[in-house]
Amino acid sequence: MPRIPKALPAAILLIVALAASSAAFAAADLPPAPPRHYHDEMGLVSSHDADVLARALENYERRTGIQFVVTVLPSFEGDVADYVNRLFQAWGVGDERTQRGVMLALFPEQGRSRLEVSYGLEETIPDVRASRLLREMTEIPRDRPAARIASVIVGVAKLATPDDPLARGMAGQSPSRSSSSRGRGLSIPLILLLMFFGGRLGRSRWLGPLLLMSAIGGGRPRGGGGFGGGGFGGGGGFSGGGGFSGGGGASGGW
Amino acid sequence: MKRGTVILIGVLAVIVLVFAVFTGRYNTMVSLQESVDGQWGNVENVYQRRADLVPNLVATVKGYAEHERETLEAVVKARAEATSIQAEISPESLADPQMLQRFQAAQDQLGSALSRLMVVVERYPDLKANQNFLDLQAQLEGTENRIAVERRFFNDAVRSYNTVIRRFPSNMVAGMFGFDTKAYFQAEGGAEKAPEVEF
Repeated sequence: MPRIPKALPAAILLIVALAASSAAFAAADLPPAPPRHYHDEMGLVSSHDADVLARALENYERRTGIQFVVTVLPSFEGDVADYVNRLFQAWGVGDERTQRGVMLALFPEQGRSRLEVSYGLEETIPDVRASRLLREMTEIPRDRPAARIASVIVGVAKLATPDDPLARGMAGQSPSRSSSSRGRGLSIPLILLLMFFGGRLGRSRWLGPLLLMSAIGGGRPRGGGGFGGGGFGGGGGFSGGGGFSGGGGASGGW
Repeated sequence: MKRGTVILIGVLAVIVLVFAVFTGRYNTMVSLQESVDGQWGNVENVYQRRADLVPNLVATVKGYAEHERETLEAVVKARAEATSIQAEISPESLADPQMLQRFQAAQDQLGSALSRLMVVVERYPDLKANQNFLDLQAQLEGTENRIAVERRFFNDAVRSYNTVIRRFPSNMVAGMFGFDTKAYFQAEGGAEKAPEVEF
């Protein structure tokens, strides 16, 4: 009688230990999950723009259930597609059940980019479209990194959620956010607009990114901590839903 | 009499326990096997997806690169071979490492024929500027990615299955009910790597 019940927990322990060690091994060379939806290890965009982008993506997830993560990393190992796919899985982008996750990974020093699309969005964002989005991104001058990133964000929103404000370049608000917090600091968008786009306002493909940057940028004081007037108890921030990707999406340059 | 009852209860308890452990093990193995089979389905799908791209790709390239008949024919032939093996293979035949090896060899053949084609087309700027071709190229790239990913997931599923059926006491249950270890995809050798460009 005592032998079998003793062997059982031992075997379970062994399996658990093995699974844990192999998982730890697999994740060893990948950076840890980011704190927010926009994560920039390279300081590619200003901290203000980073905050603007992170908030836009956080609100987008609340409205649509699509978890869209943008990350700027110093380097990748091996094949960019393989690396980003493993990163996607390690961070668990998107909900495990619906598999609606997207990741834009940028490696400016290596001149590469990858837009990884999870199973649930493969139909709405086919590889061909993902590839075009990245090509269009690199048509925007390199010294406008925020506009480049915003163009991909707006492009994805156009495909996946055409009715969402983000698809029109508007950051929109989180559904639970009261309307009273809207419309603050209307003068700021103009300043931002000039900051980002200088004299290049005529080009239509910039319209989306332009609106995105100005809309969310409005009224946000520099360096202000947390969600100004947002009223979410500790809301925001990135937390993976256990999603993974089957390798959908496309790779491009930077 | 009283002692007999105690022994009887003891023996019964042992039998129930053994049964419970075995049932649990058996069910675990069944669900792991299911996940291997399911993952095999995903592997087949992505390979099929690639095979489906070939006719369109060949037709597009043919219009621009008439001289590359040999390369194109190699692609068409490799595709036919890969599809015929894919029709033969089933989840049940996965226990046979040779079957999987044949399948992989045929698919890798197609993979390398396609990557040779993609190298050759570099010589045709008109083709490279063709939107239809660029789209096909993006699709092909995406499919190759998916193949790599689904193969990795398949190997992961096989690994957890094999680990369980080899471990004590599951190996006893596995032996009793005929659960065999399954084969892995081998890490790709030189076959799928892009060949060097010749001028």
